[in-house]
Amino acid sequence: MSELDDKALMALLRSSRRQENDKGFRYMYGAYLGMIQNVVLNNKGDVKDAEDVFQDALIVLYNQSKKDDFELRCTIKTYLYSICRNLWLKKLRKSSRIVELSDTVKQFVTIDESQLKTLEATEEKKIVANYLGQLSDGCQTILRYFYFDKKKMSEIADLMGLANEQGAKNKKSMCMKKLKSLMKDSIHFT
Amino acid sequence: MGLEEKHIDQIDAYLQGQLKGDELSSFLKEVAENEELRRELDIQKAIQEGIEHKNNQDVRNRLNQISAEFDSPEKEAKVVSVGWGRIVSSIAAVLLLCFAAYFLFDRTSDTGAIYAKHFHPSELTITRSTDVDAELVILKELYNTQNYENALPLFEQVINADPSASNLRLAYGNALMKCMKMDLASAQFEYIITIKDPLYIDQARWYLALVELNEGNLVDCRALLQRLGGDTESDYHSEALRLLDELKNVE
Repeated sequence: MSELDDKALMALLRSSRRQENDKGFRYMYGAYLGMIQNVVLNNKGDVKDAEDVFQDALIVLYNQSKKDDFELRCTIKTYLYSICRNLWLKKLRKSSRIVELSDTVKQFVTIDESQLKTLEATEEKKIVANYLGQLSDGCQTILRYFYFDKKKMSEIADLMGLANEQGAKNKKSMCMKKLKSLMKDSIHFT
Repeated sequence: MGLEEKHIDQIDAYLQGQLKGDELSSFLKEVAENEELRRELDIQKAIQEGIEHKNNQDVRNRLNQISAEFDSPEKEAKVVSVGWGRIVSSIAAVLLLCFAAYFLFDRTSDTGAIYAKHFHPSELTITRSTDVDAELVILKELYNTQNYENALPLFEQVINADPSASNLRLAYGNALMKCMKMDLASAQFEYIITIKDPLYIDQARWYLALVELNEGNLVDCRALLQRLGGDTESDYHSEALRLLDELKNVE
C-alpha cells in the first residue's frame, strides 16, 4: 500500500463513503497496530487487548474527524498512541492498581476525556440504536448523513436522489417522527 | 402544541455545530427558558448519540473484517507455544472460524451472484458534437468490444477535457466496475447524481446501487433502489423493485 500522509488519511475518514473510510482504516491497521501491540504487550496485556484498544482509538479518531471543530494538533500516529495509552492505563488501574505505564513511544499528548465519551455504551444509546435498526434503510441513511456525517440538507438531497433541500427536510422529519413514536414506548424517553 | 419550524431549524443547526456567537448564546438562553424546546433538544441529542453508537458497532464490525486481512505474527506465536488445553481451544476456534467463514462466504457469494446477474454495462453513446473526435471513436471501439482495461486511460483523458460529459462518465464508471475499481466507479456515478443530469441520473443511481451491493453496503444499496423503485417514471423502476425483492433475505 502506498504511503498516505495525515491530510490524506483524514480526508478518507471524513468521507461519507464507507469504502473510503475503510481504505483509511486498512492503512492505519498496517501502519500503527504494531506500535500499539508493543506498548500493550510490554504492559501486561496480550495481542487481543492491543487490538481492542487500537480499534477503540480508531473509532474515536473517526468520530472526531466528523466534527467541524476538531483540529488534530499532533500526528495521527501520536494521537492514536495517546488514546491507546490512556485507555490501557485506565484498564490497568481498574484491574490491578498499576498507576504507571512503561512507554514504548516517546511522544504522546493529553487526550480530552470528552473525546472518549463516544466509547461509552450506555443503556440509552443501546435502546436508540436498537430502534434505529427498526427503521427503513432510507430513514437510517438520512439520519446517519445528518446526525453523524453532518451533511447539509442540500447535499443529502443530492446523495439520496431527493428533489431538493425541502424534500430532504421532509424525509428527515418523517423518519424522526417514526423513530420518536418507537422511542415513546421506552421508559427512558417518556 | 408542536415546536415552531424556527426552533426545529435551530436545533438542527445547533446539533450540526453551525450556531456560533450571538446566535448560539440566544439559542441556549431560549433552551433554558423553554421547557418544550429543552425536551426536544434532549431527545434529539439522545438520537444523535444513539446513531453514533450504532455507527460505532458498524465500524467495529468493519474493523474486525479488516483485522482478519492482517496476519499478526504475535497471534501465530501464541498458538505455537501452548499446551493441550490451548490446542483444543485453538482447534475449536478454527472450527468456529470455518463455520463463520462458511456463512460469510455464503453471503458474499449470494450478493456476488445477484450483482453478476444485474450488472450489464450501459452502451456508450456519443453525441453528434463530439463524434468527430478521433479519441472518442477509439474509445467507443475499445469500450464496445469490452476492452475495458485499455479504455480506462482514454476515458480519464476525455473526461478531464469535458468533466460534464455524463455519457462518458457513466461508461467510464461501468468500465471501472468491470475492472473491479469500485471506489473510482462510485465517484463517477456520484458526480452525475450531484450535477443532477436528468438524462443520466437514474442510470447513475442504478449503477451506484450495484457498486454498493458489490461492496456489501446493503443499507446504501437498498436506499438507492428504493428511490428508483418508488419512481414509476424511472426506466429502472421495475428492475430496482426486482432487485430489492431478491435482497429481501440477504443480511
